Amino acid sequence: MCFSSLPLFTEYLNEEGHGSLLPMTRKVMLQICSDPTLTLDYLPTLGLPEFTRSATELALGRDSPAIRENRAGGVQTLGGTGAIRLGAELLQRWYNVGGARCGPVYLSSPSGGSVAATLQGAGISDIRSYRYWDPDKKGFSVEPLLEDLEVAPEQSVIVLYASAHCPTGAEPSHADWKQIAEVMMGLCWGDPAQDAWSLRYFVSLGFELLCAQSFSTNFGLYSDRVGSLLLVLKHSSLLLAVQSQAASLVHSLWSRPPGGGARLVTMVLNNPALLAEW
Amino acid sequence: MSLFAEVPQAAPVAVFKLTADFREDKHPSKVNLGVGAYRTDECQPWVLPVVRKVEQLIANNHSLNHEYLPILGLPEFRASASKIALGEDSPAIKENRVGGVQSLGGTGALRIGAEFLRRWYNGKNNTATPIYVSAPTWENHNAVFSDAGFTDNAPEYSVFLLHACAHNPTGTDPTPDEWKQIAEIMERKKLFAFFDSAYQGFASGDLQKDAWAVRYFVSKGFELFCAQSFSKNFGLYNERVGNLTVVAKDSDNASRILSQMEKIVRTIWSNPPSQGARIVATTLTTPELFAEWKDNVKTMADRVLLMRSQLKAKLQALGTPGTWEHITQQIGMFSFTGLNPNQVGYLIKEKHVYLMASGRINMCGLTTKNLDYVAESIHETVTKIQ
Repeated sequence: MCFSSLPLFTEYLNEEGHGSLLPMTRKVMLQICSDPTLTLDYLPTLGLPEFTRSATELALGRDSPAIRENRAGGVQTLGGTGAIRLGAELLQRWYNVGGARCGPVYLSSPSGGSVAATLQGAGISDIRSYRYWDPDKKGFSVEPLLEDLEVAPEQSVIVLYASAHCPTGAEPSHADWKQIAEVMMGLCWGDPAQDAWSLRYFVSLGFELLCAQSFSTNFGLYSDRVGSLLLVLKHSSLLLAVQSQAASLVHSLWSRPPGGGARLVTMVLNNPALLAEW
Repeated sequence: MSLFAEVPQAAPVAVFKLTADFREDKHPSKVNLGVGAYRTDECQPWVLPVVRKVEQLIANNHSLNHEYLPILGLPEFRASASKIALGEDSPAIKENRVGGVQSLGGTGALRIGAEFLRRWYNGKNNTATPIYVSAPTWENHNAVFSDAGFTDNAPEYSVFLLHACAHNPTGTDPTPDEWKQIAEIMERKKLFAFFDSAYQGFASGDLQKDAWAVRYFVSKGFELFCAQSFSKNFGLYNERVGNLTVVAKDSDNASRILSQMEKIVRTIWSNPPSQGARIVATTLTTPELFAEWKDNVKTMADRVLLMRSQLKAKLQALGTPGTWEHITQQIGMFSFTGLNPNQVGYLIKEKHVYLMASGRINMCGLTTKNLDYVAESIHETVTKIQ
């Protein structure tokens, strides 16, 4: 999902130029609001467990070792922005290796709309960029990016787009991603749409990482604010500690996430017929 | 070696831990008086009939889509929410100096207000402006303001967080005369009023009565913030429906304030969720639905009042030591029973009646079926433990 730099939001528009609701959305929403067993009670602070589990599986693949080893989990957030904000708050407070504070955060140049402002909102001020768009090639070039990564201080945080880069739409190839992973020793942080290859590749190499997932575009649920902050850590005990700190941050940001959109996504991802339709 | 090896496990929030302990408890007579949500006499959550009706209307309205709301939220929602707080004929509304920011429940409204004040209130370097909260107050008030960047320490222009009605956790509100005294001092000392209004209608059953303090301050010419929640009075807990009402000196100030709030919102949740706001806006702006809603709210408020009077009556009939007038003098969802931590511990451990360490109980956890057991348990506790 991406934002333009003006106060407009980009979304999928159909041929008539209108935002389009996925056909199954209305059907599923009617089902949800006709279900007498569903109440409107508060969700848990970390969100609907079935939703975060489904979102995590969607990103990493059901048979991901990180999932089997119980060291990957999600926190339901207010869309992709909420996930980025929560991730930024977590890093700002808790990303500390041997007393050395979290290094600078690198964004691609150019970068989508509000990411920098969101990081600043969380108190992160050292924001730099890595080269991404090659104006001569009119696409992505890996060499400048690798050069910038080589000189980045240790403990830097690198924000990567798993696919469908905003705003350029240009992507690294699989071979490019392998080179990027080789250079990176610290944390990486991605924003996936449909193609999660790069994310799963980093996880397979043993990286710890955060991933901001948005379901606005791929489900057409823009105004429902459905997102998840995926955490992949070295051990399951670490996952619990970090999730507990995330809960504490959520408590003073929005207290609990909203339920409707997350329920819909969960239903679709766990129902074979609806999943195929989606 | 993990990058997060030094992250400690955060302490659980007390009220959530209480509910978790309650769930684990297998005792057949267990009662949960810690929960912060309305329950029916069958101890079930209640989806308001008007809400079910409006949900269906929305689901069947094919002209509604899921496109992004504006950053500040659904305009009809913001306008009707501010109107319900300030009153139909509020001079501030007529003079076009009121704005609303749709927020993620009451918490979201408080956070946006806090973030704005930390940046723009009381000149530069204002993170040291103290925020005064009542002692005691809702436990999240402190976290919201400190996470927004406030520290501590200077007197004039301090911010005062006031509960508009049904004070949480005590259930004890100032009288109108007391509110007038509070307003007089605040005006003189240039103190900023930030109202937290989470129970309008739910406290007394009367929307106007529960908004009296906010409207009084507006009538005295205060600029103020009011964080509104529609979680309790609409039963829309999981839709996260809130509104930060901003009352400014004039419309120019109001619009500049909102423009800065927009920038803050963009970096937290970008734009708010639509479902709950649509339900509330539709209800508040459709006369038959509005009437039905007021009725539903009164149903909830009346049940709470009934539980208050019955609990007091039973304690008095049992001859339980102490006075129990406060049970019916207090208002809203919560009652500060006056039980001390030892007594609370006994109630939980021996009688499986769960309540907060402060002695706070949620009246909604009481039902006609468990009232006798709870009253007898309190009686036993107070006679055995001092």
